[in-house]
Amino acid sequence: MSLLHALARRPTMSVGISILIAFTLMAVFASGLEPYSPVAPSGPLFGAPSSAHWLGTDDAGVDMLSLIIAGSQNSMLVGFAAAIIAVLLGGALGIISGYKGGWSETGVVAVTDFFLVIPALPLMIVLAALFGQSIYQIVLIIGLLSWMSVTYVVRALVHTLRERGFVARARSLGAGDRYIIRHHILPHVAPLLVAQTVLTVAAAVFLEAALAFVGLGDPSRISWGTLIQTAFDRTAVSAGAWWAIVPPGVCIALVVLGCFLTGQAVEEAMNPRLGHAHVSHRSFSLRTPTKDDER
Amino acid sequence: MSKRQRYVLRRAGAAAVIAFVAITFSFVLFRALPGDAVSNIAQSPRMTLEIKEVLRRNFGLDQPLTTQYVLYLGQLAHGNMGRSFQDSRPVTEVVLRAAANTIPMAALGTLIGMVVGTLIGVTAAYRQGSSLDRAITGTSMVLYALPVQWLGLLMIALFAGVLPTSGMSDPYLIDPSFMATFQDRLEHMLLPSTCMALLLFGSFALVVRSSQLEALADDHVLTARAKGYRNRRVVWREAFRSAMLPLVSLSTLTLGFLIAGGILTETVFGWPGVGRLTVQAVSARDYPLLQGIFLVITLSVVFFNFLGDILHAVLDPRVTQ
Repeated sequence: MSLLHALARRPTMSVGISILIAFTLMAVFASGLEPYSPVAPSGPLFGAPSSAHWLGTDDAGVDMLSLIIAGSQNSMLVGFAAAIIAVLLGGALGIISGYKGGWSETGVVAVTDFFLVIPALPLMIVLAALFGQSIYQIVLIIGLLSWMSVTYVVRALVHTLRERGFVARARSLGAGDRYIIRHHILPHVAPLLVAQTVLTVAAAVFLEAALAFVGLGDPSRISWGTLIQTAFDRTAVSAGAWWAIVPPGVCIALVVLGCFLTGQAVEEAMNPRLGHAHVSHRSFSLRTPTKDDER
Repeated sequence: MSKRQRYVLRRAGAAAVIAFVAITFSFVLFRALPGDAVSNIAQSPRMTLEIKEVLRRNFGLDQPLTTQYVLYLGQLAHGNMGRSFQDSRPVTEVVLRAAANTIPMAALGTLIGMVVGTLIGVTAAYRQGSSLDRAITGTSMVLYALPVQWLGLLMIALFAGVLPTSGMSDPYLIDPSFMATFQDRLEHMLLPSTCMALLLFGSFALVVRSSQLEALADDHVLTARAKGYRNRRVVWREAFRSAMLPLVSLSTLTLGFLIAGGILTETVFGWPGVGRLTVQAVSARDYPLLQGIFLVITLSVVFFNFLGDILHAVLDPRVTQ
């Protein structure tokens, strides 16, 4: 319910979600949508866009539109799979360490800080070069190195939740840790996790394209990243074939923008306090501080 | 010892620990490979067992892992990062030479992106909600969402023929004067630097805008306005000063990535720096070189991170309390 309300109030969110849904559908039904084969030539080399080939053809005469659709499958797969790994791992670490506190929290914070400092892309390049570059390895590498920011924000939130009255009340009524986490912590963390998932999808799509560009894409798969890389490698620029260059980049940018808009809106919509803070920028109210303000 | 000194020491200690862990981490990573370096490079058909043994001994690979680790640390302390598999040149020398090419180009782009992004971000916050603000926020978000390598390709397509799109210098300049060389470098630098600047512009404008908005809502800004100060003074001297903290963090983070930040940009524009070296090391599976690059990049990020902590403490004394 509240989600629908929020949607109605925030046009940017519906734009973001529509973009994501459109590309997800494209990825799911890819094989049915491709007008031609994405691996076999169906037109002239670097053929310009025409009624037969809406986005023209690439250096081998393969239909660009079919390539873009086929590429959406792997780009979105990497994006979502890596994001899910990152959010599950990061969320679990954040909730447990934030809730338990003590040594486990200190330890998790130290490890998180370490991996936040290590530059991500160079480390991913090293790992992909050392351990392999199949799409599953890429998903693992991106996913296992993207959990830190999730842990960072989730832990901070859970840390404050732990001290809240309703948790203390539940505990005094005899609720166990597991019960409290499931019924009192998770509902508060969920919107943050959703927002983090969408933002991580954006980062993962980006990183896949970056890895592909330095030659660490899965050679047997088509993705938007490998399409940009082939356009660069096979001189689409000097051939003047802009149609081989522009579409994959536009798709990545659209998905990333869709993720930004959605993530931002989810965070705002599900966190009424954030809305308050925004209002207080401009209006100066003199309401008496409530108990909530101290927390 | 003052509180501030103690804070600096603590941060320095933390940075040293992170650097040490990163160095160890990289040793473990590159030794975790199936087989060792020799079995990787010794795939030539005439390779005999004896030669392999000699190679192993030369590389120190017949030693136990702990000895290798101590050797590695000792050599690293002397700035020795081993030799490249490709041409057996010392890795340190190769990486430093590439870094010398990267730094001017990346510094120019980073500086322009930082300054312009900050100015535009402050402007957007000042005119919050206006169509100008919306245009700025929209543009910055789109720029932030573009893949670098793709932006670079588009720039090459647009400016091919007008500006040099690849490499660092014109090989056909014969015995050029100092000014001619300088101009040639600058021309080659223009596209890759602009590419980096555009990307940084997006993130700086967004971050500065939101922190400036927060600062503008502070009480001391209201006081300043009530005192009747001019808008310019209120915006810059009152609000911007307190909005600077996140900006400082972002700046030192960006500077830390100066060497690494251009991996994709350098590849697109064929700039012979650390980024392109990384790609070469990857495609040749030149592990010592790759390890050296990774170490240099990581240590520079750790160092600038530390610098950011210190600057933070200088600007905001509350940090050290």
